[in-house]
Amino acid sequence: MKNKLEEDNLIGFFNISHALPIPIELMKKRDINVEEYLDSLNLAMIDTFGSLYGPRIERRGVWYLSGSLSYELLSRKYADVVRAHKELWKKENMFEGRELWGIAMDVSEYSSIFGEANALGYFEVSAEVRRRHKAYREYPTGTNIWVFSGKPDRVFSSLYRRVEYVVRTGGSELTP
Amino acid sequence: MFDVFGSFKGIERDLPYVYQLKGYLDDGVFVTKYSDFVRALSGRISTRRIWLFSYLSSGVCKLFKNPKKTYQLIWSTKAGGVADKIPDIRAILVYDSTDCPEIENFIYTLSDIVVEVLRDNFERRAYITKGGLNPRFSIPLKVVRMIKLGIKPLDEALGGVKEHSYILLHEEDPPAPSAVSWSLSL
Repeated sequence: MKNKLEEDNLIGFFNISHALPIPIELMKKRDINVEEYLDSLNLAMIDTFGSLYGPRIERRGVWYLSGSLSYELLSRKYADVVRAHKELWKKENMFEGRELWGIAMDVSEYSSIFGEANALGYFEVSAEVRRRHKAYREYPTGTNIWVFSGKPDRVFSSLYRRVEYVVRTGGSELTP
Repeated sequence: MFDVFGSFKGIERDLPYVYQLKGYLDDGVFVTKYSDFVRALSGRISTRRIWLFSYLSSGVCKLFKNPKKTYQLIWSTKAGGVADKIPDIRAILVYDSTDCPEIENFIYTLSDIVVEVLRDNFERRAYITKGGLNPRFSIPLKVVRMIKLGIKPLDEALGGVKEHSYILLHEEDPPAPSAVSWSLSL
């Protein structure tokens, strides 16, 4: 993410599993100037955790999903804010010559928010929404990185079948 | 000293500099009262640097209904005005995974340095598995090196603890009692 931003690319960061101040603090510790990239619009943050539980960071570049969040409505609400930010990128002529990346952290969190069966339902519907919604048909689309942590479940199996690449990171082997 | 356990259980302690939250508490109320308390306190303390110690961080599972969410909200209160007043907050957190596996992923992500403590017979051995040699590489792929346990050796091994560092001491779960050790002859 740091490299992609330094190379002036566009990133949509979908924050799902942490209170947003925490990933922002972690990024700053790794010398990512979060505020600067939010101001320049290169970085968009879609804060699912804050939409559900608070706290909200009201500033340029940070987006919240409106109203009540159910797994049936989630992908449509995502598409609406993605479209709103992509409209800004289009207005500022930012698509030209830049890569577009989406990072979702962690998608495993959907199972604890909605339950495993509903999370699975969400992913199945979201694929369809991504095919039809204007946010994806009328604007350039990017490459997505989905972070999954914890034990594999049915959601993991479904994602595993769907993605092109799987990178597995190892934890510490000392205290399993 | 901030007494979370006593606050939740309604055990009043009238000791100087021992702080408790009064009245009814649940996950959400705790976060609100805690952030008010911390904000008021940080306004009164005038210092650049503060060290936090927690014992045990994994105890949050005993007190909160949704420990993962609540623990994160507690940590994020720092951003809401406290960090402006006290810029360098460092922490040493003690964690035992039998107590609270729910927060393990978060507490590892949050920590800059992870020290895993193993029991080898009667000796405790400590290993740095995250941070230290190359703090910018955050994924603990393998054991970095073994160190002696204690603040001073840890500080030496790390070449001094950097600003804003969070250090996690991950205590190994206690070994399951074997049949042999319980066969006492009465």
